[in-house]
Amino acid sequence: MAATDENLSRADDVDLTSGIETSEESTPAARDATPSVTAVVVANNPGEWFSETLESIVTQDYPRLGLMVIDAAGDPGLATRVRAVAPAATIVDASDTDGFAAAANAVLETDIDPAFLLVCHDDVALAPDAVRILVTESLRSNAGIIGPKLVEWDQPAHLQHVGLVVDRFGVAGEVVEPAELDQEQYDAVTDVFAVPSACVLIRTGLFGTLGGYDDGINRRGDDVDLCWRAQLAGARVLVAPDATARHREGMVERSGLDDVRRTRARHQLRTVLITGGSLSLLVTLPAMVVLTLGEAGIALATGRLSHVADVMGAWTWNLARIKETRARRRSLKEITSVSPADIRAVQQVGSVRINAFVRGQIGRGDDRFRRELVSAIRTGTTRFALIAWAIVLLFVFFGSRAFITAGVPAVGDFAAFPDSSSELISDWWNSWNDRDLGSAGVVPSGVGLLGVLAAVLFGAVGFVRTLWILGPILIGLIGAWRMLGVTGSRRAQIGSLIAYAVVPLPWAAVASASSSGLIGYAVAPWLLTVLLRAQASAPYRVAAGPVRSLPSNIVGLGAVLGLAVIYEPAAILLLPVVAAGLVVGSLITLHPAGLGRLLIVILGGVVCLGVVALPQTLDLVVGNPSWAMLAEGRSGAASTLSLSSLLRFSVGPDDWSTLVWALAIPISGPLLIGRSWRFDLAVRLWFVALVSWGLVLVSARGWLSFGLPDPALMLAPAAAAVAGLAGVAVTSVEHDIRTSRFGWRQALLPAALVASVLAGLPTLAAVESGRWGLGRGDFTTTLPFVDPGVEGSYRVVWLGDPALLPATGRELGGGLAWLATLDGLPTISDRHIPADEGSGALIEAVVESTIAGDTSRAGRLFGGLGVRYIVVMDRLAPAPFSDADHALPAPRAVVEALDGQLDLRQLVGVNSAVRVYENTEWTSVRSAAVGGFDEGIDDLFDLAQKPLTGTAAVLSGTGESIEGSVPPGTEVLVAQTPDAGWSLEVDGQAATRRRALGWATAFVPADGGAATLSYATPLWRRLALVGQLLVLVLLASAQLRRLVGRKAA
Amino acid sequence: MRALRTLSIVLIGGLIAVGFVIDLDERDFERLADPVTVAVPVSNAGTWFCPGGSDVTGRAAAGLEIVNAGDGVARAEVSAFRSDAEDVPSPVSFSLDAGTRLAVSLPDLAPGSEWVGAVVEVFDPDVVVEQTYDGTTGTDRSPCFTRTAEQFIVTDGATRELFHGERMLLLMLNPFHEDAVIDISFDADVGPDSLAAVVVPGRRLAVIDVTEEVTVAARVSARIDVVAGRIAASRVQVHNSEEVRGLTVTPATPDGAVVAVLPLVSRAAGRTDVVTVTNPSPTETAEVDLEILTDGTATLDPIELTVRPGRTVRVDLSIEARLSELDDFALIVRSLTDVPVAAMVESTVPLSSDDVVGVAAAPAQDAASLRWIAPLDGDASSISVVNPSASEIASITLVVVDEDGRRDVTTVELGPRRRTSFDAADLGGARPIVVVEASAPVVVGRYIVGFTSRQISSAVIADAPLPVVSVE
Repeated sequence: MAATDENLSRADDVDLTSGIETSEESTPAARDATPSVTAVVVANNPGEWFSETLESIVTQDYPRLGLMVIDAAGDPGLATRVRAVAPAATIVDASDTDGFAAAANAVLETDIDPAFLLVCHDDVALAPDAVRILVTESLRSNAGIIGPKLVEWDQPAHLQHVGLVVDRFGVAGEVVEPAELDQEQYDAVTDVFAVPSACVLIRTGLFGTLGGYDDGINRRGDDVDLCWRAQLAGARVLVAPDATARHREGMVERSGLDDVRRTRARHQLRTVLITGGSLSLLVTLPAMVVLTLGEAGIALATGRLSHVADVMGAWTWNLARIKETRARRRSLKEITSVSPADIRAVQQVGSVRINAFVRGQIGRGDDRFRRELVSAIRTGTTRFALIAWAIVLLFVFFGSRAFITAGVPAVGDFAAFPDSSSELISDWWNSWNDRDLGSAGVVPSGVGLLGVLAAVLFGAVGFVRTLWILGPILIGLIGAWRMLGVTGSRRAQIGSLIAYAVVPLPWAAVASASSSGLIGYAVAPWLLTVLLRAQASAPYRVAAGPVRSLPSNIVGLGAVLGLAVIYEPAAILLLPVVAAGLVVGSLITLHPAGLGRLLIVILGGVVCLGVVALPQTLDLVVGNPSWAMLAEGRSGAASTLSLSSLLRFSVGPDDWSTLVWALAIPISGPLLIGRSWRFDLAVRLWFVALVSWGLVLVSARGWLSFGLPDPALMLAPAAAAVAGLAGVAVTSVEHDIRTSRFGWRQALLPAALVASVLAGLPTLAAVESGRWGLGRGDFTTTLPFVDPGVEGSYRVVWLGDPALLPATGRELGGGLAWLATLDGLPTISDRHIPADEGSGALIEAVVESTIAGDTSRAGRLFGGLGVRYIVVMDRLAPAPFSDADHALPAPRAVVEALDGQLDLRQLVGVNSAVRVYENTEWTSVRSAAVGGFDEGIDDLFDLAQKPLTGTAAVLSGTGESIEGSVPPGTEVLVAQTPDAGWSLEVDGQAATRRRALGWATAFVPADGGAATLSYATPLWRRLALVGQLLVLVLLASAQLRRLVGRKAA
Repeated sequence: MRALRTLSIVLIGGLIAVGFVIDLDERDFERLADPVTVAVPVSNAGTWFCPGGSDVTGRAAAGLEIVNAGDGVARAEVSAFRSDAEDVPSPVSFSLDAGTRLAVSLPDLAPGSEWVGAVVEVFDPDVVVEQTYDGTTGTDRSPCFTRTAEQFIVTDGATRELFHGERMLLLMLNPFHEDAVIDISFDADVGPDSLAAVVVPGRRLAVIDVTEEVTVAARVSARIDVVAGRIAASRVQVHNSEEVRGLTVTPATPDGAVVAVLPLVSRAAGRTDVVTVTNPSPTETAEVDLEILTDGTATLDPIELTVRPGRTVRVDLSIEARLSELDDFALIVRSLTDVPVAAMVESTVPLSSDDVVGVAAAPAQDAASLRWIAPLDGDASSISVVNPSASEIASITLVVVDEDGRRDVTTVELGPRRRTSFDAADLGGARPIVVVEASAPVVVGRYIVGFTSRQISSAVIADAPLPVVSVE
């Protein structure tokens, strides 16, 4: 603390004559004992309040206080105004400076040398004893910088600042709550990291040593910078709340320039760059980059381009001043006596910026939202709601703890993600699907969005995958919460939330690895809400009419469905289910009003959906889509699901307890006791549930001539309706029981409560495993696939029950489905059946021929398709991670047929959950072969008699540009769906192409050499992707703006 | 409001109740049908598994006879498999005209191998592949397998080599790439025995000399359980005593059957037919009836047998007094307890007979069909046709196929649960290729009498196979 000691000694030797006596009560004895203080007021065209500011200084009870007014704006009338109040004040012209810091520093160029400087804004009014208290406390506590308690100018009872906390990123945060009443709760002298520059008492020696404020900081952040540097120099920073000052704090209004965000961002970064230690910056700067990108991303999503420019511009602004920054770092180093680590210890942990962003930027400095929140928390129902949310979230996260800590195994529909985010983005951007035999068409855009998210999170693909699984559950819960928000009853919302959490559907979907089920769970309550709003029956209307306009509903429906469809195309089937339920329910209650509106919204919403999911829409138009795409490859064959299971949402491998039946009591409540809109709404919701249950039952009985997707998806509307009914039950209790005479209705309440608890018990019990019953491991390390880089790319054909396949398969009937993947296990990009089947029917033909016993040379046929492995799945996950009781063994005909093939070798000892056959006659997907290798083979099935020979694998890998070399004198067989977009260049020369094996492509290069096989994505597909992105950004931006607008309102 | 509430509750409750009611009905599950797996070879399978035999110096020199009963030129690809560790020879392709036969010497395809088997792939549904054997004690023939299996049963054999010249071998062909592992359990009159974890290397032929394992047994049955992989197996039985001489190479019975047919058994003078029935189940006793099917001249009660788990029962038809009035007839082997059993008939004409001597054996046939191919051979051969149906009359047409084309020879009607036979002499030609076409599923067997030996074998199904149990 050398600097402080020096300052103290200088304080004792202060020249008393330089001050201006302002107190008539001071005596010469007192003057000798007290150090001199010069109040430095930086005036920048101050308003009428300035006189009050000056008066508050000249009326201080401190005996040796001088006044210097620095004119920062060259105001010609300022001298007159000053002289009128303080005739002895010194006026310094600093009109050539820019900003408060540079102006304040002008004091250093004068010859005054008091012990202390009291540097003030021109809009501060000090209490009469403020200076005395500050000086006394500074001497007592040996402080280098000390500030008063600042209160609101017009409302002195409201605290404004009692010092500042600062994080490692230079972001300052308040100690006090906004508009917090001053009840002396902060009136202890406290060490703080910084005090606002509005009023600061600083030892003159320290101020000189530091070189004053950083004059590169013209507005905002000068106080943090000064205090940070002071502490590095060993000075102590305190706030003495007994000293008070009123502060107007209206810079934006006075200057008319709203550059808060820009200047803060610049100056915070500048402060960190100057004051941060070299090692510390290695951590701090990357973290700041992340924060900046996050903030910019959100700003971009909300369409606030100026915000993006401000936060990003901070970096360019500082880069442009890097020399100056270095110079200041060097000069600071000379006076630094405290290690940066010690400084960090007194800084705020975490990021003040995130909090500040929410409060200061989205809220635009308006604290009303925060105040309302605080106020709301103090009300009973909101506190109850927060507790309910906390319990539900704890339940979800505790039940999913194994996923959070160890990731989600890649089984069933929970496909693996590629190793990098760029692969996800590339798969989406390039519009070639390797699944089956390959086909042109987009991967659902959800894959691309997940890739972007992973990229933003610095490649945290595993984390994003966990989000992909658990995120829909949270989204669904939020949807359930919002479903009855229009009623204004928090209790109803809580009822819906808890009911939606305890229905077994999402947990059964997780246990059966059904991603589509989870997507359905996420979208169903939102869809139901949108359609209820569209219908605009009570309570989804106000006296003036519907709560939402028709276009708003249309866009809302399109957005909800579109966002679901880009992750799970089959989710579109939820629309007719929910709509049909609402229509029937409305007719039953004799309230058909709004059905026309509903129809318009549905039609408009579908059109809007087509725009949101533009690339998929175009694929449907140009491709040859099949129903299998929506039915997730399932046929209309009967399944074992009973109505009892459906009503309990027991669609997973385990049968859920019959206790779930108890839910029937609370959800029947509104039918029995509900009146008015509560009864109508209950009937509508019941029919949504009945349509959902009925449709799945009809499908499960095999009465449909077409397939339906995963029952977990199709039951999602029923689950949402049950949640809604639980909420309506609560509102019925709130409104209808109270007005009823005493009787059986009152008994319903305890019965419903007990029943709800009982119904939730099975779900509560399911949290025990931490993974909702899903196995711990997957096939990633179980299956003995050879590295395609070693022996060439190959395909894997997966056979088994549709519920077991590692991606959506095409059903052959009889409980057997298939899919084919390139180079091993499928990834999320292979999850869906593409709109264009390509030549995939050939695989199906070979599988059928094999099962029919038409050939014992299936290997030759599969070999012509590049298939090296055939995996028959009997269980969802490998042993010991799956229960043998949950096995769905492949039909015996399949096993017998494959076992009887002469050119398939069963790889023994792999795992009891699968049978893996290796094709001994496989040919790489991309092979070099002598010219005319396929002579006489006009059809794939000719290979049974004339197997392919003399081929060698070339051009291994996946993607749209594959490089390698081609031997001279050979042709290149590319065993995938022919497409004009593919081309082969050998030594820069394009190879000619011809049809091979009756279905594939053979490229005929002029000679051997370095080769590149590449796919050119059509421009229109790229434009569609870009268009879709723009639409998504607009939608997100509009939604965020709406949210922000709602907060502001 | 009250009416509306009541209506809604009734509707909702009613719909759920209706759902439960309709859910009580049995569901019509669509299941991929289990494959029809029968022991009788089926020509349209296209792939023939021939466990083969010895080289030319051995006891049963193996050959193949490929018979084209179709209308056009047929192509066959023969892959020979050795019993030693030498490389598997490359496949050899053959083509043969319609209505012709082609003999292939297996030892020529795998020179130096003591034992040799083969897989023959043909690409015409009317081509039949048969194994032929030529040994010092006789000759034999039987169609190759058209399926592999995980269990085989050999109902009978003998190993009294020293005093009776009886030698028994098991040939096991593993046509697949991965090794097969088998356990063999023997049930003999001298006691049980077993072999465990015998490896049949991939694409190899393995031979077990039962004579070395179960010595001096007058009766040996064997159950081959394939622990890993799948194989095709057959039994080589040599008789070379002063009373009997003969060579039989008999396909082992895969899996067993609840109902099977022995279309050719006889009480003819000088011929001793013995039926053996093995119950491969380790736990369940099989109550078996041998139902006697004649050409309608007699109706006899069945022969009732009790076959304990893992045991074999022999029935010497020559000493069954109640059959004394019969000459040739057929037997339906029916397991009344639904325990699959394997049955075989062994027909012996001793050296003391004035007739052609020798031993012939064939397993019971578990499948019927509408179309069969029966290549005949020898000096005096016959076809036996059995209608196993309890109610349906079968109209049977016999067609002879040769280089000149197809020729319908005769058409007869065969009543339910009747048998009939046709002599080759009546069909024209010395070695006619006979196609039996029937309006109802029938079972067809062959009895071939050569100059020096006798053979019984199944014909080959040339249409969809139907398990006999389903035909009844």
